Amino acid sequence: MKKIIHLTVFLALVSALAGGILGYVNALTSPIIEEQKIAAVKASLQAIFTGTNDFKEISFEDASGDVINAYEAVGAGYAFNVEVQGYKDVIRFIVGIDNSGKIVGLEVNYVNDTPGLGSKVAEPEFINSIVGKQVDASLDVISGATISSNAVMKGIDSAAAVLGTLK
Amino acid sequence: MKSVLNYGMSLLKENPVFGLYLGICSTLAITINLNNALGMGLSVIIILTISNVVISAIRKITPDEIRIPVYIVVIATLVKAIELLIRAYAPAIDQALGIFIPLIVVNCIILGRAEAFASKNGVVASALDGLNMGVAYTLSLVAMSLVRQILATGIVDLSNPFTNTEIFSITLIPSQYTIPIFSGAIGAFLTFALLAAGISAIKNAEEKKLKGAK
Amino acid sequence: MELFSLFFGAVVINNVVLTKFLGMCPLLGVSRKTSSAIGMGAAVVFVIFGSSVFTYALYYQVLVPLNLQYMDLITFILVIAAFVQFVELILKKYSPVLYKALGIYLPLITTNCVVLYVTLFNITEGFTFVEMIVYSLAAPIGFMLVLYIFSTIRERLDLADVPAAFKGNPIALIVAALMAAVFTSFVGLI
Repeated sequence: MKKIIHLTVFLALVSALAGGILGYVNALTSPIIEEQKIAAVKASLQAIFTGTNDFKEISFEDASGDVINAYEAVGAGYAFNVEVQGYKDVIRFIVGIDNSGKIVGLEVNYVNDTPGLGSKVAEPEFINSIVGKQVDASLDVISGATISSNAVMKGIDSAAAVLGTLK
Repeated sequence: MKSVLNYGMSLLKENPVFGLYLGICSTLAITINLNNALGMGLSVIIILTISNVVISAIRKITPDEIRIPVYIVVIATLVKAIELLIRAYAPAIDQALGIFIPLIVVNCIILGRAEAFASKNGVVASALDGLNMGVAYTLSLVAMSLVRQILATGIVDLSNPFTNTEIFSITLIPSQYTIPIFSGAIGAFLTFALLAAGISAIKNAEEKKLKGAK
Repeated sequence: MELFSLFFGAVVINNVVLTKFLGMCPLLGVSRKTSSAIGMGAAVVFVIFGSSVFTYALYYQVLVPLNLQYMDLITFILVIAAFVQFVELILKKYSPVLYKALGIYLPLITTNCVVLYVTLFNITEGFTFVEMIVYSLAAPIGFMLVLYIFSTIRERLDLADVPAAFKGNPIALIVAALMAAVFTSFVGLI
């Protein structure tokens, strides 16, 4: 019995110490991690809306479940952080839509589909084919990367649907 | 010079990854490029060295019956601390390695060295052992990532994880001659199998030589 | 339908062994005999399912309210270790033959990356309770499937004439590469 108490106390002590250390590291790093997250999003937003510096996160309702965050670029338009299922992994991107419904920017942040095929959705050729069009216009699929490019378009449609509910 | 050669030889023969098949899950998964390999390798070196030191320091007061849970708690604490630090200061590595950073906890090399070495030896010796094993692990990761990255993309590049700026980038193979399959699962297994076979061939030759000498 | 594609995807397309490279140690270690492969697979299914439910509840009911999310790694690994101990006790008592066959690999389930991966993945993917249940069954079933197929191939491989340098694990990894080729060709089905 005494042995068991000794063991339990020892393990509890070690765990408590571990918790203390982690609490300290967490307190140290969590503000920086938050800043990093905001900075990463802000960099994308600024690349999309070059004219303004005033962004705020807004709440929204999304029936498709693809849109993760929505941001308002005050006076310029809206940006949506979207995650869709690509060919073998998710694709994450931020799409900016201005007040007239024109796609003003597309920043693909994460794609893990086949290099040379699905990965093309992150390349300028595809992005340039989308930027500048109206959200309801038909967009061109990349041959050889049908699933990945369709996934991105589905995500843009979801973002446009959310935009519709905001107005 | 001879000691360097000896070190190289022991690195080959007692290699934790290709010789003993420890920690291969992460080896296969993250060796897509040099950046990931170095990021993972450095994290493991730091965690392995500190965990060896801590476990060696508390080896006399740790009750034998619960030593494994205690080791696990020590290792998990270190890994989580490193994970938080990486996320804060080098988000690029966090993005690239993702869930494989927390999975360092179950990298057999770390618990293996804790049980086989640190629990029986002094603090300084354990620190050196951790450093040594970590470096061997990192070199294995680098070797594998170089093979895969060069064959799959034709480019070798390295960027500073803290600032996200490129340090160098060399194109070795024009893009029309690359083999993208090497960045995927099949390439990972094949590369590993061939490197492991190469090392076992060296070992076999060495053994034959020893027998011949007798 | 979503749940079915989650299940099928986790078993075949995103197979934890062949596409995420997890659980390689038991794959190379206990896959020499079909019977121990099945035993190991079943033990892993049980451990993953049990510890997933446990860690999921623990995370959302205890750690999140207390704002202690950073303790996830420690609590998860301890829950897994305790669960493995539990399975070991049961097997020792009711199936000594299997216990002997699995030998040292049973305690090693603790450090089997699949278990920790699934419990962490449930959280990072933000799964609902039902999705978590489906995924925690599908992932280890995928593991078991590969372990079983692998063991049937390896039984044959023991009789084959393999170049000296490839004997043992290297040729097994070549087999794994070929199996990965087969499994990844299912990509795009869902």
